[in-house]
Amino acid sequence: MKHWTVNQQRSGNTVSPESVNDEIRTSASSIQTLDRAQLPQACIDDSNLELYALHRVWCEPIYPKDVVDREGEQNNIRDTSVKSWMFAGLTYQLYTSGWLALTPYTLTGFKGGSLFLEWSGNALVFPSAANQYSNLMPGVSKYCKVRMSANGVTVAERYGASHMEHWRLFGSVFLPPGDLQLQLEFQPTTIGPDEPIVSTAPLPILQLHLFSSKFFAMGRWR
Amino acid sequence: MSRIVQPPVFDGDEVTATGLNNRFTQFSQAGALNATNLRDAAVDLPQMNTTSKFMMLNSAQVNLGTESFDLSAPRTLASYSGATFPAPAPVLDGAGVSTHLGPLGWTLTSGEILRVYWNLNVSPNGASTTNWRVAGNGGTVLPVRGGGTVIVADSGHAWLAWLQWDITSAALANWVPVYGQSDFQRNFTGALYGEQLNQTQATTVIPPWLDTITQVREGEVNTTLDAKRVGWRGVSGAYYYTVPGAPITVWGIRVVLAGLAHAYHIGNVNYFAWDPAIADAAITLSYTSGNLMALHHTTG
Repeated sequence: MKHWTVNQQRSGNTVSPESVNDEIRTSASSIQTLDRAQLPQACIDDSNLELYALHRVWCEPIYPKDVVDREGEQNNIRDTSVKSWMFAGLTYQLYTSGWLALTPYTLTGFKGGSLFLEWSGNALVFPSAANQYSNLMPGVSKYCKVRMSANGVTVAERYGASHMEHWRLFGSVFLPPGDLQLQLEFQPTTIGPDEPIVSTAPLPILQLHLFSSKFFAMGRWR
Repeated sequence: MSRIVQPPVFDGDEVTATGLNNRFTQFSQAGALNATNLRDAAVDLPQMNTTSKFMMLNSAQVNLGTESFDLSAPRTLASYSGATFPAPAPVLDGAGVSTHLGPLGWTLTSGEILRVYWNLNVSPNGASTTNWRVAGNGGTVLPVRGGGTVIVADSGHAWLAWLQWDITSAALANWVPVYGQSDFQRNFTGALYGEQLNQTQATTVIPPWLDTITQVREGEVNTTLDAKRVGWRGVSGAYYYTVPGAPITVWGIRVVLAGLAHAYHIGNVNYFAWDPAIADAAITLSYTSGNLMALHHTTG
């Protein structure tokens, strides 16, 4: 960006304080905001960048982790009366319907821009009783739906595991600056009209359990 | 506000070339400018110094398995049938050579993250044996409409795949489970070997079969059971490591496989336990091709 040279110096000019000060003041005021056309190439690296100047990562390699010995598992519904050769998890005796949320997490210091979210884990779903006499079509297909949102904005949602499976959910969204509330939710298929929920033992039948859960988030603003 | 601060020239100051030059050097020397001197979007790819690594420090990828894309030449892994625990098998190529990342030599320290992603084409075999319909371990007993009972698979069995790494040397002779992951070799209760679910950060489960009830009515089995093969499917895994302690150097990463484990619990603590009752030579896992990649970058 060019600016006017305030005092053009010529041979024989009288040097005065104002001539020097005006020129320096003009140069200083022009260095207020350099744009990309003025910055030298290859001038930026981590030696002259503040922490989180360009991006920031939030990551929990295992989540949730607020209950000891049960880290990475859904702790919303834990039925321990199932048979010993099964996970203590969600049964229809303790679950009615609707989304269940893992412990909310705050992404602090989001500066506004692109947010990439990724959530993955394993799930056990009991799929065998999908075909039910009183609901032949469309049936009661068994899934563990998963959904993640930031500040109420859904980033991604999908039908997840349908039996013993690993799943991964990821997506991006643009959000304004400010701390973000990350919400990770799952929803089993609601009980069907002919559902077998008890074995002959009689013991409750595990319908769903979610484990090995972890998430990764990255904000990019430059 | 600019960081360039220049005192003015006052009447009576001695004017010298050195003095004048010093007043202008702040505009050109490193460190004279700061963040408030940059306009929005001023820093873009041309301004990045790519000769020195920052943000993205390292990345690598390798093909896994046999690379048999028409599924004609899979490798097949047997399920274990011993009394204790199985040694996991690394994913091999068509010639029987281990496919893995390494030697890498990546040093990870605080403020950095390792992300690992992998996928593999697999096909569990053995659904037709149905010897896994065992009351208790792998089966759930349900009443049959009109009398009698039947055992249906409870969906609790799994082939397990997980990540190992070598953080010792480039020789890649010391593979251990990645941080937060177990090799499922702990004798956690009685005669059972396995591990708690909170040690499965890098585990991917693979269903060995699918047992369906062709119709249920009022909580009872109305017709028959139908045991189906799971068939060829793509499975994947993800793992993150955020350096909770001292720096480490990662030399190699690989995927290992073993089976069959089953869900288990003691009170409110869940486990995977190797199931000794499921031994059958027909229960195997075939695999062909896949991919393993790792990213090492800063967190801010």
